[in-house]
Amino acid sequence: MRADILVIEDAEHINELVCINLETAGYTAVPFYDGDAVSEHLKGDVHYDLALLDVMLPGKDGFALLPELKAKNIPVIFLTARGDLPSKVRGLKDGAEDYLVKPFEMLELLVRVEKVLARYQKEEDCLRVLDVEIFPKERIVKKAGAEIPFKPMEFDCLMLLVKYKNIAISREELLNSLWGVEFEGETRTIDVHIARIRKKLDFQEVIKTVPRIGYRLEDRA
Amino acid sequence: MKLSTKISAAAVSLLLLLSQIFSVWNLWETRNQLIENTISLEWEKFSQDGSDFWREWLSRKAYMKNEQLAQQWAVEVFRKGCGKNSVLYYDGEELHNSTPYEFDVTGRTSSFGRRYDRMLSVWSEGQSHLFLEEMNGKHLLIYYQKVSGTKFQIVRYRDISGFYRNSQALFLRGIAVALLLALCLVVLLTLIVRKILKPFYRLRDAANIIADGNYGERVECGSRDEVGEVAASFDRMADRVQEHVRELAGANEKQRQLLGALAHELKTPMTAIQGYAELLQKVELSPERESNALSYIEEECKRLSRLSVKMLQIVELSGEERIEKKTLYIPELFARAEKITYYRLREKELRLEIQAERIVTEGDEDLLLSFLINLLDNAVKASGKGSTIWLTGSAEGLFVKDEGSGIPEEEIRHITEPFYMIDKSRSRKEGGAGLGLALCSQIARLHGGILSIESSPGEGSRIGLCWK
Repeated sequence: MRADILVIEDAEHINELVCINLETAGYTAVPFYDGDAVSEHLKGDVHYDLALLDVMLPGKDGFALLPELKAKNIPVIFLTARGDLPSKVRGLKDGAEDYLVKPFEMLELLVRVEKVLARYQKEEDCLRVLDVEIFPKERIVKKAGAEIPFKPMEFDCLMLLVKYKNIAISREELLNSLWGVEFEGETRTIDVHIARIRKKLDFQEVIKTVPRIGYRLEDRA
Repeated sequence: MKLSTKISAAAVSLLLLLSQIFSVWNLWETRNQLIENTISLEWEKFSQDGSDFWREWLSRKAYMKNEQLAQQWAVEVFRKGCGKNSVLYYDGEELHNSTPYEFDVTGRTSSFGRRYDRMLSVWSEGQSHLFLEEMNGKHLLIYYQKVSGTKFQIVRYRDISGFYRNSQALFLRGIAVALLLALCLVVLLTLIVRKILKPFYRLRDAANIIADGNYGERVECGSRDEVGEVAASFDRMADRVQEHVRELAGANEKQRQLLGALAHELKTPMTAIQGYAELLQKVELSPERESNALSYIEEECKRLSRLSVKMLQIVELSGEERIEKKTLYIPELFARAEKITYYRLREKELRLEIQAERIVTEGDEDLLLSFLINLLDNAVKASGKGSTIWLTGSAEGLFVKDEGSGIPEEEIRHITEPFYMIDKSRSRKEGGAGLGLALCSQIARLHGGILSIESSPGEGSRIGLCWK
């Protein structure tokens, strides 16, 4: 899932943070620190799949940049400290795809980015990790060309790890995503599923256990 | 009960009571006067008649051989002289009676005879006397006389029941008139009192309206009496209350804005801290990125702690009204400020010129030092490399002057507001939180001065504490 994402945020630390997050998840992040520079940059022949846009910027602010980004057919997620309803409504009404209030969690950022991207471009037909191919639509997993039977819950679990590869996902986050509710004291279920996935795909080294957090699927390719 | 009803009731009952006392007294006096007049009219006639009777009877007495003849003669004389309404007695025995009443001169049934006898020791015989008797429900005025030297007694009466009847009728009529007048009085008085009390009703309504939260309501009563004074006082009170409420609302709003600004200001460092901490936990980063993340977290934590220290100072100082002042030597103060800002000055190759015309001042050393450092920091941030900053102390005040970028005119008004930053991202990059000048203006206030800001964009600023 290669995608070029504009990160427009004036606080350098936060801009860098967002960029690291996106790059870790396999996107290409392009940082910008003020509105006028973005405006100038957009005049050239450039293409981006998404823009993360802070509202309060030196030079042109986020609300002013929004139409310019829309004109370039770049979907926008607002990234702001303003959590009040009027700002949210205004941002969304003006045509932003989503609205993320600071401080945010990494997974939340990535899920929202992924959802917006999915809305704008077809989901990839096939995800690859090493010699494993995953077909989300058909719900088929192949290792070295041979299909391997997966139970639905195991498949969803694997999908999550692959989508957010190189990022540790906590057991709670996995539980929430798979079952949709918080299972008190049932995080062991996850361990059981992970163990089965590791065994079926021979992923003992690929799916790492991160102490006190959860699991991380590593693919530095 | 309403005040108007109370006043009317009190006035009417007092009027009725007093008017009745007066009318009773008046009627009594009038009746007595009438009786008096009647008496004086008839008195003389009666005395005359008595002495005439005596003389007439005596002139023929010598011829009366026996007692019976003398008595007959006396009746004859009496009938001729005294006429109607009179009775003649001889030693208590009735000789002639031309009245419809039976009198009793011996005092057995009526009292006047006895009373007369009792008084004889004081009065001489032959004089007429007067008694008031009530007989058969009638008031009778009785003249009584013992003819001197004889055993004859003459009684004459006059019926004065009419006077009593009259006065009673008058009394009743008086009551009726008084009641009628009282009724009129009640109506009129109620109307008048209502009119007088009208401003009070207005006052009551206004108080209710104000109590309901409409602080703009006023009575505006033009009258110059006590009611008008009360209304004016009420209006004055309402003015003060409204002013106070407005002040409180303003302070409240200010506080709300401050809190909002603070929360917003906290979010940026919080986002960075939370984000990098999460990154460190969940992602295997390159060693360089890892150390960067750690230093970012530390930096943002430091910013938060600076922010909280300044916030606390502002909150503490804004509640304070006076501070403990000591005598301070300005050159010493300047030297300390220079020492603290030395590295920051050298970093940008800035020159600091110190001029202390005034040597001594009164104030809190820590606060004034923090004041100067804040201003010097601002000057350093605004100045370009190699320029000069002046630190001056004079009779006018303490000032920091720079040759930096200056402050746009429309911003000067706002820059003492907490969290106000002209260039947010640049301020943050340089570690500012937008609280420095807010703090400085509090310190200036506590030292009895004002924060004076003179600036022109591109030429520099002169900011300082101006003694009032």
